[in-house]
Amino acid sequence: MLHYRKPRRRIRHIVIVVSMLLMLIGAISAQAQDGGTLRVGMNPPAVLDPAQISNDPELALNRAIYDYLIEVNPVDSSIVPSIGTSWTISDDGLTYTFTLAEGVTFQDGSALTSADVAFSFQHLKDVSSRALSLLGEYEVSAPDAATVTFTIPERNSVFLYGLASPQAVILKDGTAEANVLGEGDAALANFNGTGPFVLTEYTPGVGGKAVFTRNENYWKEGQPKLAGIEHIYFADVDAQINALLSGEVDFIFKLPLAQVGTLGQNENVNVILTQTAQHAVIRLRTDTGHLGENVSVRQALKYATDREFLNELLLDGLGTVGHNDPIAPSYGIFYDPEFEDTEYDPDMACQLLSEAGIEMLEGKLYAPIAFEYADLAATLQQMWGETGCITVEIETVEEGLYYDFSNPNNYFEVDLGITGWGHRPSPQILLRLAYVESGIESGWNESRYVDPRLEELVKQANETTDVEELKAIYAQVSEVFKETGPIIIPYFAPLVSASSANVADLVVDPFPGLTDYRNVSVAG
Amino acid sequence: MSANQNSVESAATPRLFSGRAIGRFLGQIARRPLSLMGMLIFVGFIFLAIFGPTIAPHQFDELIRGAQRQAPSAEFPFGTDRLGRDVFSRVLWGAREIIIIPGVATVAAIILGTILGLTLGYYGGWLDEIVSRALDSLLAIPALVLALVMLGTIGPSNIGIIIVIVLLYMPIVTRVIRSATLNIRASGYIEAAKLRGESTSYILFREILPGVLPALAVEGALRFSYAIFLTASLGFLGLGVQPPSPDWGRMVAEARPNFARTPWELWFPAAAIAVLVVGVNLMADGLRRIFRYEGQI
Repeated sequence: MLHYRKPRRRIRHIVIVVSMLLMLIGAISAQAQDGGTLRVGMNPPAVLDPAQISNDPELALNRAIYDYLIEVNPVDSSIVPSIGTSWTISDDGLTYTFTLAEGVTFQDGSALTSADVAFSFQHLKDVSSRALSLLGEYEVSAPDAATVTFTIPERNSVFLYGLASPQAVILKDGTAEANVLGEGDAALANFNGTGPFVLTEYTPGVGGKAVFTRNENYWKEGQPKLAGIEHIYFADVDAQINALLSGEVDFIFKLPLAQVGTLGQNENVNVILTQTAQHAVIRLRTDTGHLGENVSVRQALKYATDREFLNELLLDGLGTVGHNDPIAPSYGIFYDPEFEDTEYDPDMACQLLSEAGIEMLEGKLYAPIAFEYADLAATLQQMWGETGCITVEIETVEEGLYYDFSNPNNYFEVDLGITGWGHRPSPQILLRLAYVESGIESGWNESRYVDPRLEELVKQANETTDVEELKAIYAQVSEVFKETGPIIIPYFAPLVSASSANVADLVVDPFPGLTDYRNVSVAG
Repeated sequence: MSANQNSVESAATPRLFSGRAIGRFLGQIARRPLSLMGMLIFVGFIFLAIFGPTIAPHQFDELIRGAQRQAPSAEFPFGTDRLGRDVFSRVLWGAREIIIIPGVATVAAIILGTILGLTLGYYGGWLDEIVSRALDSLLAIPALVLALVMLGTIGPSNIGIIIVIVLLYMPIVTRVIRSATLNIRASGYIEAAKLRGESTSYILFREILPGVLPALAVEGALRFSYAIFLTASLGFLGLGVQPPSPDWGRMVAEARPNFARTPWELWFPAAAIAVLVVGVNLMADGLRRIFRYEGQI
């Protein structure tokens, strides 16, 4: 018996050794393969048409296939070149002239010319893309093959941010049906960009995925580093977290804040925090007959609010406490960390109210049931109550109802309320929407805040694209908000993402769907 | 004649509130351990509702600085929540709300339902047909859906919840009392009372009502337990009372996203709801058996 067994064992050993060798070779060859494949877990996209995209999975799909004329730097929100390698702005601020990169080809093999860029921006107008909210009115023309010119009727300091809108991808001239699934072999022919990755497989919906391979003809030297990307579609964030933990995906984004602690304990996972300008604003209505009509009331509430404590308590200190104005720290150079804010001083709050003849400030604080806003309301109630001169009742409202104008107590009508504001790439966008007189009619200026100095500053800022000049203007904006602003911004929220530990050089964009994967690599 | 009248009355109508009846009732309860437990739980929670806020070491909305997310300890028996509020104190304070709101609503539903049920059952006829069918159609709508629609319209408030519960449970009570009344209506002592020339209200409340009391007691206990659950559900859905109220349902809802970090924030209010509802149900079951009430539950 032994005689027969021995050779079998030997065979088994040989099989094991050989298969281990094969695995080793496989691992080495996978490592040698350029950059590896990044698998990103996300919800499925709903809209594919680039002119109409809005949520992150939609942005991500287009970001892979297409290029932009210019881009927003995810770290400091400055404008950086892309297909448009350089640009000039005329002295009157009404003409923007871009020089295009050379050697750019579409994935169908044709070369990019200025006609493609002009077509792409004309297309946004033709289909009334949401990108127009920043672009405003403009005419686009292509004077020669490497130049594109935009003319606008009046100065617009966020025009460049408009050109970098997620919807403003560069399409091929004449594209009628961008990203429409075709039939048979040509199923993906309409996904034709100049971007770093080529879509090779697409199954829509939960359980589906989009598979991209490296664009070998990509115009940027050495990019992308990855051999490919896969977007894997999940129903919800819990499924995404499980997929990351089980090694099914390498990167997920928009996670609950509590995951920082939970996922952070896992040594195979990197938790990535991205500072954004997303914030909750606690705002008072300032028009006649409302609580914040009296500037002392606005100031008293600011003095009564310990924003550092709110950040510690509600966001585990992971948010960024800025000023009580929309110039967020994530706006890089425009944010002045030296600016002296209103300090937490409850005695001062009561003194101000007392001087204004108010012994007990009473109000009702409305909050939508979203993020941590109900907890924020409950904490403010206590914090303000501790002063002894402010009492508020709380009413939390289902989020959809709170932002619905048919509800008489909607976010725009209530006296004192908490409103969520999403990330914007430039403070100017927020200022000219929500804090000027014209915003009252358009439904954005919920506090009805009108300060002549601010009107003038926002107008000045609208008319300049000079960074130093803008910085000086925004410093004055902060000053105005400090003196009469009817808003408290407790903190700017971070975006929580997580990747496997073997993913390198990943910088998550404040709009996570716009994250740039061109320099990312995945170790084998 | 008068002696005869008394003897008819005492023979036919159970006297629930005589000393002997209560003694017998307690004896029956004591012989059923589960019912006794339910009764004790119920009494215990009533005690909490009355004295809870006095016993509670902290205010329900007090943020204890530097004490958030603490696990249960000697200082904080149920731990502290994500904002640093004492969960033990909140559960104690919440007892009052979870008993008073469904309690008031149940009592109102029982009173209205009894009056309506007695009247419909006693008179019968076309009025009974119309009202009964209308109430049946109201019963066809799922309770929670009706509650959501109504509270969505009138806005969340304690009064709103009470109105919703009354509207939901009054038809059920009416139906039970109506059918009990139909049974009693044909009894000899009712005929006798009619022949004596007693007024309708006397017949309804002095002759028929004592007869339907067992059904009423069982129905009341049951409705109360459902009302507790409904109140907690509405709180959970954010349609109940407003923060920072220590409503148990709301506490469960708010604790849910934090379960991984502060599970105790969820355990205790959830357990409190479960214990109270199970307790009241056991009590209702005991009542049903003691009164040999055969009606549907």
